[in-house]
Amino acid sequence: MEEAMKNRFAVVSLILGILSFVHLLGIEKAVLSVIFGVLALKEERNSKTAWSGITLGIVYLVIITTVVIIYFPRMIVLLDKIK
Amino acid sequence: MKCEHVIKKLSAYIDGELAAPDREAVELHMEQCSGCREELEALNKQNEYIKDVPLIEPSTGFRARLWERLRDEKARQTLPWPYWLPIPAMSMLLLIIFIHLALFSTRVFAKSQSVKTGLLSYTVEHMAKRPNVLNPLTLINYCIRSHEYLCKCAQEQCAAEKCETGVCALNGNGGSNEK
Repeated sequence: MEEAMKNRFAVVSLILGILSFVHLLGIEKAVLSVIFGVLALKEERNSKTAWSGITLGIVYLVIITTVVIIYFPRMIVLLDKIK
Repeated sequence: MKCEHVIKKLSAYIDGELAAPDREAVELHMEQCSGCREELEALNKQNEYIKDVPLIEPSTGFRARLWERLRDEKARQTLPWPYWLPIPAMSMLLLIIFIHLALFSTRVFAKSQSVKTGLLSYTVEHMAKRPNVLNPLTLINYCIRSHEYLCKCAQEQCAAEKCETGVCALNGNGGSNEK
């Protein structure tokens, strides 16, 4: 059990180390919060901390998606008009 | 044979489960090693004590309860499907974001150098030089400025009267609203 936990921490450490080089508008951190939140639910289903992490991650992604859906199609229309 | 290997095999030796070569090797080692002999004596004493302990009869339904608890434990470790819903929801949102980014970037790369340079300068300004603590605000600011820039370019090239998409405040006066 202790060995398995060490391996999990090693994987988290590796992922965070890789992500420290990139910045994708925080999307990468939101994705991690959802993934680790769901993994935490496997251990304790009523964990408020895990549900909070999942909710915040999803809310963040919804905000980013909404902004992208509002602006990017309009910019694409404009780009199609420009030579 | 080393002491650690002998100690691992002592239990099987006492129960008479060792093959002949192993049994001979253990016995040969015992003759030379007092530590392992003491270990063997201690194990023999333990066995004698255990033999004296009265057998405990399990209560009725013990086996059924044990299996039920084992099944419960297995079910507890398997997460039901509603708990996995955040993952497909997240994947869907990511897919929407990346489809839009891919469509946008392919069109940007097809445009002239001046348009690409202008958009790049806005990107650097809003994503690198002046990062906002709150990421969505940075993205919104970037989208607004980029949209204004593209709208100005479209007006200059197409002689449009006003903003084609009705989002920005530009009104077709040749970019006088540029900040």
